[in-house]
Amino acid sequence: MYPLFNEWAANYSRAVITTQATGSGTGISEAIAGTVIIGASDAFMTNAQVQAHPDMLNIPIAISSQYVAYNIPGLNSVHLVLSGPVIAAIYNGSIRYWDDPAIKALNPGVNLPHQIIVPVYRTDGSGDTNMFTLFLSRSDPWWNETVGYGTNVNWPKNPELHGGVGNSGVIDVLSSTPYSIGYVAMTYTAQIESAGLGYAALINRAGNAVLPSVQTVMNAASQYLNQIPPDGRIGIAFAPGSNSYPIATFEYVIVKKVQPSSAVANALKQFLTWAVSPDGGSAPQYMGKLDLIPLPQPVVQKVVIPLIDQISGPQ
Amino acid sequence: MKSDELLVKTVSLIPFVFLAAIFVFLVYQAVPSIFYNGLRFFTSYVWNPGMTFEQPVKGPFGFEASPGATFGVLLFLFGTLITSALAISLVVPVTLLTSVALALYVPRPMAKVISSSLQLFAAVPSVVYGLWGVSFLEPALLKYVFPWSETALGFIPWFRGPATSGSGIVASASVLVLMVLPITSSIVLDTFMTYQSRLQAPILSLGATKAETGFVILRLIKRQVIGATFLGLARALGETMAVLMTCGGAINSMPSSIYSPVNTMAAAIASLLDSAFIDPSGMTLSALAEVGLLLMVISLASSAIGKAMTGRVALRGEVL
Repeated sequence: MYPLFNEWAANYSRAVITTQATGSGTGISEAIAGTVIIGASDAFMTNAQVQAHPDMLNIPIAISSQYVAYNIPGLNSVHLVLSGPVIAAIYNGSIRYWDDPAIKALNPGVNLPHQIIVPVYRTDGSGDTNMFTLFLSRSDPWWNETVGYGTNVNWPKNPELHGGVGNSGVIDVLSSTPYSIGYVAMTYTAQIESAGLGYAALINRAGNAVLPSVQTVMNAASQYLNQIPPDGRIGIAFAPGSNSYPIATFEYVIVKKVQPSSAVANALKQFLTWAVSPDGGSAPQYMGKLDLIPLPQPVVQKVVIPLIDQISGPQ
Repeated sequence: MKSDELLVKTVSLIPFVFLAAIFVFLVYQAVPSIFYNGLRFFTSYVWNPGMTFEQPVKGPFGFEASPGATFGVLLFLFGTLITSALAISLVVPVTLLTSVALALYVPRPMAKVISSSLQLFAAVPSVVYGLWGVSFLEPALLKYVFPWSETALGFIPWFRGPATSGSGIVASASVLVLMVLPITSSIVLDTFMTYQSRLQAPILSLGATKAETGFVILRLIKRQVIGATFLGLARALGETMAVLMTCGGAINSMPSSIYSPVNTMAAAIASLLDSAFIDPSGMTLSALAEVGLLLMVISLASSAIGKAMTGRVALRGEVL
């Protein structure tokens, strides 16, 4: 979220916005503490946090997605087909080699090597881990029961499991470790390409193999239009729809309902409205540059605008 | 005069007060984890933050944690000790050899230059060592060293492959060697040269060879060598960035060979802190504080032994 806010801050003239790069956890807790006006996070607040702080709003502002990337010498230009249950089995070690029958079955005709798979996770807590594990939880019952989802989870016992710090750290591990696999935010497309990594087409809820793209991710978000609760908190992983990419998440801003003054409240509302407008902050010049995906307009109208309208000055 | 003296005495207590404050803060933060995890904290290697998106539940002694949460430090503790121990076991012989060689066989002006450049290495930021480990050392280990050690030493259980990556115990220990070596060698060399200036002539006059002279002096400064080793160890135990970058980030699985990824207490604190803020029960944060407390106790102990034996203190790379 930090790069996006930097772009916005540089181009938005009606208020001065200063940005700070932190993890999601810090963003949320600083917004709650009131040290910042806008906390940005790619995970929404937990139920317990919402109950403890009912004065906070979770407002979807953009969509992000991720690649399931891999480094299989000779096969990185091929988009392998993988499914949630297969990826879960790779991470828990029950699928140990790339030429496992379960992977072969999804990739007929691909000459998979008999090499040990090295799965990679993010050691720092992150929204990327959250959306990845939510996809696995929704597509694989075993994962849902034993691991679950979150910014950091109870990773299955697998002696080959390696960690990387941040998306760039994961890319480093992937590129220096042949036969590895990991998850990397779509905002790192350029780095994935320059590292020469491959990325998978994923089996979605409808059973189709889908590659990540602006369109397939927007498809996924649109599928949840009627399920998004009024408080905006919903995970959009493993969406229905024949052409929906199954790993995606809303990016959130976390703000206080009641701002310190009505001037701040108005400036904030104006800025957030601009941010989700296709002529404003959601224009391709911002989103495309950073490989983020704008919210579909029906979602903006139905969910985001009513949330923004709840912001006010002191009563 | 009296009041001046009082002021100076008070000011001199400030570092101690800060250290004590950090200790008290860590204990305070760690209390929920100490009660919730109990002894299991030291016997389990599983780090499970629980289902953080669900409502926290009450655990032992009424402390709240996310459902399913359990925290064990064993993997991190083991990783810290094995990487540091491996590093130190390489550092000590190299330190002794360099000190003796520089003091006895290399012309004094050149030895001075080498010894001060060695000390400069202590000032290189650890992230630079980490970067070197990631970009040069790990690929080299995976490509050249591990294939050899798998075949040549594979009969030893801990050397049996297959190695799947360059990161892990060996890479972290190697990076630590480079970071600790300047500390230990500068202390040992300084002490060695001090003794040498007084003793070399008498020892040689007894008919000893240069090598025998070195051996005699090393025996005399045994205490300082052990002290330097502990100061170096204190540095290795707490090193964060370079180890975080090279350790492989193991989680929930104990290493089974020298090729395994590993994790250390310092690296785990650095990498797990942000997600700890997400845990609404605060238990993850408390467990990290307990890890920090343990790390602080262990490195303070090591530093104190080093200080007692050499009269110096290691402070983030530099030796005072």
